[in-house]
Amino acid sequence: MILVIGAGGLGCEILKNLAMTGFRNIHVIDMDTIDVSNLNRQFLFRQNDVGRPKAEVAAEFIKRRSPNVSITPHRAKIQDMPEEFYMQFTQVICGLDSIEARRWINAYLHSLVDSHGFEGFKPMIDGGTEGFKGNARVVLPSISACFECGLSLHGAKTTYPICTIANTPRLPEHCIEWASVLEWPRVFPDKKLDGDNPEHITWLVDRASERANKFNISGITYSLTQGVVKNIIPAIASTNAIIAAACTNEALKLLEKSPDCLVCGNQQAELIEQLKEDSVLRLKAPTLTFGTASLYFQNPPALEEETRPNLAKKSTLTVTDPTLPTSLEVTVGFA
Amino acid sequence: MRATPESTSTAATDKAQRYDRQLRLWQETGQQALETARVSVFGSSALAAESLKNLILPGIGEFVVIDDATVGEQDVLTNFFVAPADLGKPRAEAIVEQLTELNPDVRGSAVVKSAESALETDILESATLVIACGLPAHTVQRISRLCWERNIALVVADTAGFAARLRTAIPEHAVVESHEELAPDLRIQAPFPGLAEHSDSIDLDTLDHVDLAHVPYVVLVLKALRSWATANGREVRRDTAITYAEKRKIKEEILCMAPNMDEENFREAHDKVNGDVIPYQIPAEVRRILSDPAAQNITAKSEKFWIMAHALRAYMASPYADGQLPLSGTIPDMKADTKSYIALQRVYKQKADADKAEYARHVRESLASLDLPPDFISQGEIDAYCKDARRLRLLRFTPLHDELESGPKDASALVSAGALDQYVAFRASDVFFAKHKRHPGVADSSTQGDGNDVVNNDTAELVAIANELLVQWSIESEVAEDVVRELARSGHAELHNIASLAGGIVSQEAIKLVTHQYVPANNGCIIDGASARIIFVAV
Repeated sequence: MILVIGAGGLGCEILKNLAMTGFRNIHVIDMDTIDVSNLNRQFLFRQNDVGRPKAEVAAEFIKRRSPNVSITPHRAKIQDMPEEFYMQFTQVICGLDSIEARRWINAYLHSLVDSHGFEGFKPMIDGGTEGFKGNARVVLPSISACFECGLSLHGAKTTYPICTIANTPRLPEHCIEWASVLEWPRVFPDKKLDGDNPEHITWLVDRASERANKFNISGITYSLTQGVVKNIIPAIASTNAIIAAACTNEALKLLEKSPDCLVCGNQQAELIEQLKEDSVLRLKAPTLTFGTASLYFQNPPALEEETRPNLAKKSTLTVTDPTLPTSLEVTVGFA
Repeated sequence: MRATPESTSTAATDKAQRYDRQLRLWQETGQQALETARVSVFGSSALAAESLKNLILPGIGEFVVIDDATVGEQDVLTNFFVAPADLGKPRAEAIVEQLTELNPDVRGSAVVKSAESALETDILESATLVIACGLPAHTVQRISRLCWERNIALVVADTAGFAARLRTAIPEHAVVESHEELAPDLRIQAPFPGLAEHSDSIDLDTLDHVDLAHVPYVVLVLKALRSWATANGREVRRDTAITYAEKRKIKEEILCMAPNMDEENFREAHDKVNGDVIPYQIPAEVRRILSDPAAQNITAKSEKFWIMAHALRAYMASPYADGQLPLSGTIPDMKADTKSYIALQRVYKQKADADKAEYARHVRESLASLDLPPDFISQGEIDAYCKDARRLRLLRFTPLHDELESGPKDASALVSAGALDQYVAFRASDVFFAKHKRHPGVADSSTQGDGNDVVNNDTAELVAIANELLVQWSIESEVAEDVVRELARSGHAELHNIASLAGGIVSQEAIKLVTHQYVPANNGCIIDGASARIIFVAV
């Protein structure tokens, strides 16, 4: 079972790739709703979907295309999900744009190893893009280098000192920050600035332009204003496709281990059951004997009861074979 | 809200909103190029569909899919853009139907014909770009020749299991807006007259503490450099190499000028000496363009890029420019008060405007010498050329049909890139297909034994072919059998995920080729998903 965090540009691609690669049990979590500016790359969404939750619409689309895939959407913040939620997955694949969210999930998956040991070990595959660039990385919590280790590679978010904004603006960005950080709360103390509301942005453009004119600064545009206010990172479909596929390719390599694998699995099927299931033998109620000693009787009930504890007695038979890199231990119970 | 917008003219239009995240990369000019482009795609497999998806979403003008395949069970499993209901339908039509849904602005059509028969018609007539996916080598050769003759950009791609290969070709591809990240062109070592005057006009000794803390670092470095040169009897010309030890002296000069090192502008000046006090250089790429025969001798049929390069040569040879490129005129933000910063910005802007006017004169002269109208090259194009003069890029590719005919032009590049085994395995697979009319590892009526036998036999044959090719290309090494075996084992099967990865790269390259922005890879790419490697290499 795999968890996809983010149903945006990378998330849509990752979900498609997982479904088409044969992953059958997928959960996807995203708190956002669909915006028009998503449509240039988030191909599971259409104009009519604008305003609806990303995780739900993405899951619906994948389910329509691949009915065999079980895909469960969660419209929620990753920070709000309980530990039981995260514990059920074998790996986590992230297509997040915010550094904060990526740091959080990285730290959280490490904490699961701390508190649950091996059971809490969930490999994380982290993808990120910016314009034509991107990266994909596998993090094995507490084993490999983690997201936080490489944090400095991501560069700091552009911030502008308040004194520059207030007193010595030089760039159009400074005037926009003045309008959004200082003027907006002063004029509208009770109204939250919404970067997606054209009226709000237009108001900022007007105020920033006034200030820019006063200081002989040029270059205020609607697009720049919205970019500064929302800290917009450019994103295109092709880069997302490359990075998401690189992530999915690594997810495939980390696939859940086979429970009946001779090496890493822990096969505990009972010999009796195996004998009964054997299609060649077609047995119904086998009785086991070891040498001349009776090990287990199916009937009569009294004997069955008497010999049943023998099944719990164990000794180990070690099997080695040129095809096996390790030895195979077969535990045999006998009286 | 108290203030309501007077009009929505400044608000983004629907289209600007939809494409906002990409317009921030390639602006209106790039978008325009994309929207007027027409892409012809040979093939309709997952690789073709995924490549197209990433071009339709950003709004390519028009696309046509050419393929005579019908939708089979395997397509439903690997190609996201065919549905189970499409079984038995022409696959080109199926994907066109699903893909056009992605963007109402894009027109798409299907030509249900084999590549070979479509090439008998004028299918490439109005194509801006051709993408060919999973075609046999002889068909690729044919397409490559046609595209090369007509100067159409071509991207060829192919996948086999976890491996994929890409190849791009066009005789020549010029880029003005390469978006290359370069240090700003500040000309500190050899300030132009306006800049020297500006620096001289500021007398640090007469400034009070507050004003001193607001002098832009560029002025501080200019002054420190001048006073160091005077004190040491050095003449600093624009090509003077100043050593690291000398730069330390210049930094000390800045420390002496500072009232205290708490002042951010002095700290900034100190830190910028190493990077900004540098000899003036014309980037090697630009020098190559300027000395290219195409820039030296222009005709009325020359591309605009070359007419402008020709004018740039004349501009640079003039006493006015004295061998320097037009100044871009943009300066980075720096610690300063508004007035000092804007004043400095204006100094650079004025010089850039003067350079641009002078350069425009040379462009008009070049046009006149060719009997072309003065508006043949627009002011916008001149502006862009001046702004990005340091970032001009020219790519010349090698023809793919020659490579397929006689081997890679530079096989050693494949060796040093670590891509040789994958490359030669693919090429051996081409030869194998031409001979047997089936892909290696695929059992049919002509093969013997079970699947394992087919893989074993085909691997042996592929290894022999590959080693023969290596001998022909004069490479003294043998192909790694495991790479060849993996290719045979894959049976040329298309994995959705690898198709999506390769499609991502195909579309990125396509966008760069169509918009003439950013720098496309010249010319090959090998994807090895099994070992998580993507190798770009010039074959």
